[in-house]
Amino acid sequence: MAATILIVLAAVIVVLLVVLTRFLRTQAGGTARVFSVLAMGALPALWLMAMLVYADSEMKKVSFCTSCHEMYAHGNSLEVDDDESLVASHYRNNRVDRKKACYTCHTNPGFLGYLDAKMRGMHDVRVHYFGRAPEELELVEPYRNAVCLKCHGKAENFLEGDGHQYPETLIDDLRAEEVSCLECHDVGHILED
Amino acid sequence: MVSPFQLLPSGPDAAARVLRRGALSQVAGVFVLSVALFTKMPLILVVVIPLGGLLIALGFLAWLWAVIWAESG
Repeated sequence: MAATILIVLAAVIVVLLVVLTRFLRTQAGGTARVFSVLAMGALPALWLMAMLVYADSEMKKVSFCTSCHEMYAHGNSLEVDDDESLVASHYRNNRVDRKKACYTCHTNPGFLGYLDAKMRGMHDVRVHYFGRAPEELELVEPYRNAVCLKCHGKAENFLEGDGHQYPETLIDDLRAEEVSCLECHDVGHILED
Repeated sequence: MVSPFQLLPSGPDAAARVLRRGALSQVAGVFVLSVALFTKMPLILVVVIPLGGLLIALGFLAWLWAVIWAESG
């Protein structure tokens, strides 16, 4: 639906711009200038912003991430029938947006986290097309608790659950990233050949 | 000393010329960026999104220049 609207809007903009160029062969006065506000100012700017939002949304999808062969196994691990896997239990139980599961769990919170994810994505594209990905993929940095806490941080089962009460400072330590969530919840992707 | 702005063409004919070229740049930008609606190949998206955005932005700058500066010449 969004793509259709954007295509129609693109066609409208192209028609207006072509009409404007014809207009400008005969005059560059008031009417042409007023027309140009719409044809060259408002509509292209609006369409450009909409396209950037659309493209950004598409590039957050699981289907986009798993379009590269290096990610096939990780994509398949989303559907593994094993609740011990953090990945599969979150995906299969709809604990994350299924369309954007990869992005949700592999992006640090905040705008800087978003920028960092984009830069890492660009790096991965470069390696995929012009380099060679390692046989075994690893995280470039330790998995941050902040990613878990952006959803779980205020949840009752996190704050009051038995597993997080000992030692008493555990929740504070988790928030301060002094202890990793993955020390106990250590099964991520279950990769199958 | 001559200001660099005085070296730029100005006047109604220059405004029309700049607007036409800016419009063509935006047409090209729309076509290039529209490719992103039909493919999800990462390499293509990485190329067409910045290129299309740049062409549209250049056209916008041309429009801005024409309506603000060129007419005053």
